[in-house]
Amino acid sequence: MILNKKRNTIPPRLPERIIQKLAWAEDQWSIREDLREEYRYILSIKGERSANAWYWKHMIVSIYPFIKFSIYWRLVMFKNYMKTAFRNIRRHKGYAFINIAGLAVGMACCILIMLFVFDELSYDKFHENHNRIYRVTRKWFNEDGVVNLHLGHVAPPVAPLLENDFPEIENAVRILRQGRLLVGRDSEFFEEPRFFFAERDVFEVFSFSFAAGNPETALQEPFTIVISREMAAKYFGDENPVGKPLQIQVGPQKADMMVTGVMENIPHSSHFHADFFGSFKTFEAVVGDEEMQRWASNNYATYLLMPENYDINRLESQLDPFIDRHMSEGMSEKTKLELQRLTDIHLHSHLDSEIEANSDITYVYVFSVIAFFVLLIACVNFMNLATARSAGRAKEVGMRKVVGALRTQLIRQFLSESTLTAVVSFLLALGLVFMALPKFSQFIGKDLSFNLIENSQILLLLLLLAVIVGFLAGLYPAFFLSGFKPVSVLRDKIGSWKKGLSFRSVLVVFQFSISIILIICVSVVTRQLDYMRTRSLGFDEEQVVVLPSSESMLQNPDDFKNRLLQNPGILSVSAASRIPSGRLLDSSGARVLSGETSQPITFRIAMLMVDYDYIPTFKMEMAAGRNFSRQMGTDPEQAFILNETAARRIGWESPEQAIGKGFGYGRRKGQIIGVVRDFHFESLHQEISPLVLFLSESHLGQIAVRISPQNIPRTMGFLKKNWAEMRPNYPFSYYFVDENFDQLYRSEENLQKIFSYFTLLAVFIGCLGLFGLASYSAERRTKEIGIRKVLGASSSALAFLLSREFTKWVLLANVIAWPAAYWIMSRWLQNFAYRTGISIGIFFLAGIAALLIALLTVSYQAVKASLADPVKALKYE
Amino acid sequence: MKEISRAEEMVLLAIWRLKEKAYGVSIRRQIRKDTGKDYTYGTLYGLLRQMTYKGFIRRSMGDPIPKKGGRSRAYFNLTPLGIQALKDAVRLHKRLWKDINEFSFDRS
Repeated sequence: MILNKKRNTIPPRLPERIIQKLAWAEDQWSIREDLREEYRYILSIKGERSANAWYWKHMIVSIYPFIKFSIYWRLVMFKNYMKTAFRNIRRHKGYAFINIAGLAVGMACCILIMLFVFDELSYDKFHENHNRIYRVTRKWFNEDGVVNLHLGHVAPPVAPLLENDFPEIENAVRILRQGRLLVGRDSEFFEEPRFFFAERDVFEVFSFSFAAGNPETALQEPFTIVISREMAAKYFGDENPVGKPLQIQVGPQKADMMVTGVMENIPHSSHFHADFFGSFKTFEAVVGDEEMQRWASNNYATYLLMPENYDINRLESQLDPFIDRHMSEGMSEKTKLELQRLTDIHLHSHLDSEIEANSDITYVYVFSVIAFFVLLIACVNFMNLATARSAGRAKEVGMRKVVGALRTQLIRQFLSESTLTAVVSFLLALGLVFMALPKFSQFIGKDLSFNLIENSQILLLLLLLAVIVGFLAGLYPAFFLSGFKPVSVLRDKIGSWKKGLSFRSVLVVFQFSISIILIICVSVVTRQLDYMRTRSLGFDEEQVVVLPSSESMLQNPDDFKNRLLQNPGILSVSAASRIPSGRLLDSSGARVLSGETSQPITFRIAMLMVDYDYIPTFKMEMAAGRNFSRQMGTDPEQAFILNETAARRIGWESPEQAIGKGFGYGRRKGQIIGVVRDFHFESLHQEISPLVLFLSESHLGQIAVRISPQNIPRTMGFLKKNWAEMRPNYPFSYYFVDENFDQLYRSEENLQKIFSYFTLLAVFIGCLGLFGLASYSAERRTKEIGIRKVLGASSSALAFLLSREFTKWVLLANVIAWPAAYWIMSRWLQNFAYRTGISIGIFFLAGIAALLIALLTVSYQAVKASLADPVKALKYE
Repeated sequence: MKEISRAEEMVLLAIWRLKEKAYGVSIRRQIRKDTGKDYTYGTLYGLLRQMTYKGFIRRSMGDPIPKKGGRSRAYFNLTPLGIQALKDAVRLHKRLWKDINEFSFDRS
């Protein structure tokens, strides 16, 4: 056997490699040599085989202690990293503050918005069967096939017929909102706006929990009622309401309802909120069977409970034949039924009439995007500052490397440092959220709650986010710093301030772009709101009070009017079916008549039933012709007034041309006696729709009273007294037309408010970052500034020098922000039929504002640095 | 003063006995000779690191190994803190085992 001596003194490769991998870097070499020594010793005594066996065995037995100790060291080092991190935070309080505060504010915003978004997304999900519940909606079409009306509630026969025709429907329930019903006990009555009639199975479909009573039978009998906990307290105090009577006013007479159940208050995350559910049988008993068969009475919100995993398209495709079968053949061309998921109602349903106003998925998107950007800005800040400071810590890194720190150790140190900072920010953010929540709830108009236990999932997610943010933020500096070569670090005072500048400037530009975009958005939203508020509506909307009418008033309208007009504070009175600032939901078929021929009009003309004084009360102007007149005996039966839009769309070139033309609407026939100038009836989101006005004696549900601006309280007192006489038992309720118009823009107003706040925050966070950077760059350039000063540079020139860099960045940010903002805002403005343009001025203003803010932030440092004593500067370090 | 573990005590004593000649192989042999325990290098170096960190021993580089490319191997000496730790251990032992011998545990 030929022995290669050298080869045999070396232990087998594989176990040696493994041990090397396991050992701590510093000891690798020593361990290898030690093992080789032992190996050689065993080899010399017992031969190769047992030496190899020993080596293998030793390797295997070593694995456990190696791992054990490496875990131990991880922990020890972690403690050490944390200690250094805390020391660093304490030593650089200013930076640490900017860093932590910026990130905390960003995260707090994000948490708040997430709470809002989660809340919006949670609507109606508390129902056990929410995945299986569908709402039936009904659409009507014009002759030209355009949808003319889409309602969230349908006719009363739909639910029973559907249940009858389609056995797969597990349950179908109707609920009917009874606006402003009088409810009382003893002799005290209140007007209750959230009164509903509901079918017995409503509690089987929806999961409203019961505090008392049996949900299965509660609404079985006529004249039974289920009330909410809140109402139980209101009407019964501490008594148990179950089994006790409650009076309601249905139609002209009062009825005793027996309370059969108390339900918990319906959570705010429901698309409708009932305080009372009267049994549907009560309603049927009062209105009679005829109403229950009317296809024209589309007031009944109808919900279907479908089986698990049912393909809803199957049912939907059979709804057209259903209409044809039960209404009349071919009817499905004019009107259709559709199905809507329960959980889609809150965010996706914008029908012409809903039980309550819904929200919009767009807001959820907008908010999420804002949250994302604010957080992004904060993170960018964090990274930016850490990178900037890295140059200052180059020496520390150099020293650590010289005494033997490994690159991975340094990376770990920086990562844990930034992660720690992020976690501290996160805790601070939680505090901020608790402080800001009541205010935030108030202005988004819902009661959000934030609870560490209930929201633990969100919190865990956010903590994870904090860790990730800290990690990401530390990533660049960690790799950037640990890559320094110790020699050059210690020799040259490295990290001239320009190091990493390009990366940082990209971040600053990005940050400011977002800030500028937000500023522009806020300005445009504000301008649009101003525009909507100040645009002339085509009539005088101020000082018009609207009150409900009563039967006694309408029986003798002239007497009643004269009675009111005796008061000098009341200028004019009119009764009408609808009042501007409401919606135009009624319409009928229209046609143009000439001689014997009748030509149907294919588009929808909305109708407005009025009295003689409608146009003068609202101070609308006539474009041609005359108003209705008491002197003309034919007016009540035959006169029509169109608006300009209607006349133009029918094809008459001028309003004058329309006068005297034959016109038919619904069952009425007559001629056009006047054309009123276009006015905004609905909000400025909508185009002015074609409109016809005619006289009517019924359906005049509202009374508009124009009052004089003097002494309004006395006039209101007078109105109150009169209404109490003519509408006894009802509380006095009224609204002003101009205020009601403002209500229509509430969601835009909220958007504007929220936008402003978040813009402020984004700019604030951005400025914090800029401030940190500026102070940093000034500090790094102390020596340069000193030399420049000694050589004769003036303070102002130096301040300029220091600000120049940042100015450049902000200007660049403008270039990026402008097109983006333009694109976003022009899309948003599409929502409005009447809108302002986006003027160049806004862009310049936003740009200049951003620049000023940036300069102000920077100039403090710049001025400070340029005024400093050059001698000190040169002695620095 | 923190107490040291039995394993640490053994390693410290071995280093003390070996004076200037304490390095991996010799320490391991010393321990085996004194106690019969066969430590792996994993455990040994783990303990050595741990005690270096605690300040009981100092790690120093000896002369390079007389071989091509040979690096110097790590030697270990006690620091004053390490000596103090051993003294404390002896005192603790004495106090703990005062009046006690092997026969004390037998039932009389």
